[in-house]
Amino acid sequence: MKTPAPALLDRRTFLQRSSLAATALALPTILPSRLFGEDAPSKKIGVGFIGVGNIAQGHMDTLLGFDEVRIVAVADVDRAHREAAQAKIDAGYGAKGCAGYNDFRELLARPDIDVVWVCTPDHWHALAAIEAIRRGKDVYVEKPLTLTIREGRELVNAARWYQRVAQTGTQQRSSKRFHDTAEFIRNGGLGKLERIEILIPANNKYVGARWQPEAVPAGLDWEMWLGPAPWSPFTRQGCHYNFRFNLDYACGQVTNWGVHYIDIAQWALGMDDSGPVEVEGHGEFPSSGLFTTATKVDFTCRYANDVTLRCRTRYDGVSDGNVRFFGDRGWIDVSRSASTASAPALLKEVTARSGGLKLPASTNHHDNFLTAVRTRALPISDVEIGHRTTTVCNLGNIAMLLDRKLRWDPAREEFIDDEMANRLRHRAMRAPWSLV
Amino acid sequence: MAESNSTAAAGAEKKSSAFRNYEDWFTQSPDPWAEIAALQPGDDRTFASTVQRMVTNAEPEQRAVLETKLLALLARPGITATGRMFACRMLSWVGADRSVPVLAKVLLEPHGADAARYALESIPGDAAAQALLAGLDHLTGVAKAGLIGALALRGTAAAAPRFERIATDTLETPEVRAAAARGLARLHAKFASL
Repeated sequence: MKTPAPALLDRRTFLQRSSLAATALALPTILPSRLFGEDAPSKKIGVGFIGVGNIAQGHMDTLLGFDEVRIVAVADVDRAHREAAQAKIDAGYGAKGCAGYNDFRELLARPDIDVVWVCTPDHWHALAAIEAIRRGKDVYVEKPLTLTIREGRELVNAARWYQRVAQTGTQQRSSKRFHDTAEFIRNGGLGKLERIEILIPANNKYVGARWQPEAVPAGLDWEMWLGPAPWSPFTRQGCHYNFRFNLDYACGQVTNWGVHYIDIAQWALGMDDSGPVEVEGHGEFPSSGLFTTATKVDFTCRYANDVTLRCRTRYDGVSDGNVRFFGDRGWIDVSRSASTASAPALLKEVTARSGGLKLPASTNHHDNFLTAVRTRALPISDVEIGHRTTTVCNLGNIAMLLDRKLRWDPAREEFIDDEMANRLRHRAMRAPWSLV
Repeated sequence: MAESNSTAAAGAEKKSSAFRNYEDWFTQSPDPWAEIAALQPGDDRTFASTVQRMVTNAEPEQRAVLETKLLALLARPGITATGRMFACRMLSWVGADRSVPVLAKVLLEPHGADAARYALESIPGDAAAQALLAGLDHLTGVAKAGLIGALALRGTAAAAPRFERIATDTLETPEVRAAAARGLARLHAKFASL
């Protein structure tokens, strides 16, 4: 596909327009078919996947249903995952042809790939996405956008520098339930907003105080799986899926579940290009064993308008998060399964959408991204938004690790008068990997 | 009500063998730093976690004391790769200029480059930058590429002439030459932040 001339709106203009005239800006959720006629730059958007484990399955299933898309290649360091994905895609198209690579850089060298889905473990997100952007690809990056604050800013800078479209996989922005609630809050529907409370599932992974290194399974390129992370021997319990609970690769439930609900809170607060000014955390981290992320999460951010956001672990066994907004008219609680409120009338007001400010709307996260690829507009979960949300997660983790109150300058993206906290915004990568 | 001796003994018997092993190990370790120096992947890391809590909770004036202890840990003969990485991880949080000479030595040790750079990359100031620059004269291949990336990310302008030479040096590996070219572009582009 020939890439249209870069014409991305700058972030501030986008945010201003989306606040003042979102109706006009709102992207169509279904593109008219004439855009894909013979005169279109290309009839198909070529897609490549980097990482095709658990989280990629839903994306592949969805994209196989898009006529204007063709998944042409996948890259994964686990041969079993890679071959299963190739087979799935070939079966979906009813034809062989999906290429498979161990090294994602070979996939990125293909000129027929316009768009890349980054579905690797978190410690690879920034490197894979930035390299894709350098090669001229637009990117959809699974949440959390990056592992560290520095990586996030680097990824945003790369997307802007190379004028690429970059969507974050915080797909609740494409859900009417969350959209309408955020819009209601932004319009003052709850009166003066006082506080936000977020519950996230418990970290349910524990395999004892000690663990044993194991032989690397055939077909798994463990060195490449580790990539930029400090070297460690393979252990099955610490690899697929469970990487989420090792701070070298991820940030636990704060970025696994918390990021989705913090994202909605940021939206409702109008903080898409900013963040809190203070954070305090008191988490519990395992003192031994394989896993290192917080088993008990509890941190509170304070924004400049004095609204607080508290994120903590829930112990009721529910495998979902939720976000509850408290204002002087009552409270509203929203999760993936339901919305509840202190008074039923509030929920009717939410769905009525009578407020003057209309937030950008999307009902399909994939379609929203692909539309942005076509039009060069910013997607609903633009990379800056994803970075700011992920930053809140990282602020919480850093505050819990340091066990003290920290002041944060969201404009400069640095802690005030705390050098150790500032160092935790970044960590060195194992050679040869680098953000540069 | 006080627990009788016989009841307590019965309770102790009920402790799992795993608990007893852990308890024995803990009480038989008079020198936690020695335990950390001997850490292997998968070992109980309770002592290391305790040191980490000390580091994160230290007042600024206590950090120098901890830094000294971490440098002593790093200098222990026979320190394992896991122990070394732990020390460098802590120094990345609390290390200052006085750590640089020790880390500069580790940078050049076999298999020491990644751990040393993990700390050096986080230590602000010219001393750490100079140590990274000096490493360019000694490291090769993958480790050298990592070093170049670190210098570029720090925005160390003094590295630019070195990168220029490396980028066109046919004796270097393609990976190192590419890293130098990227590093040079980065230093000139200056779109970095933070």
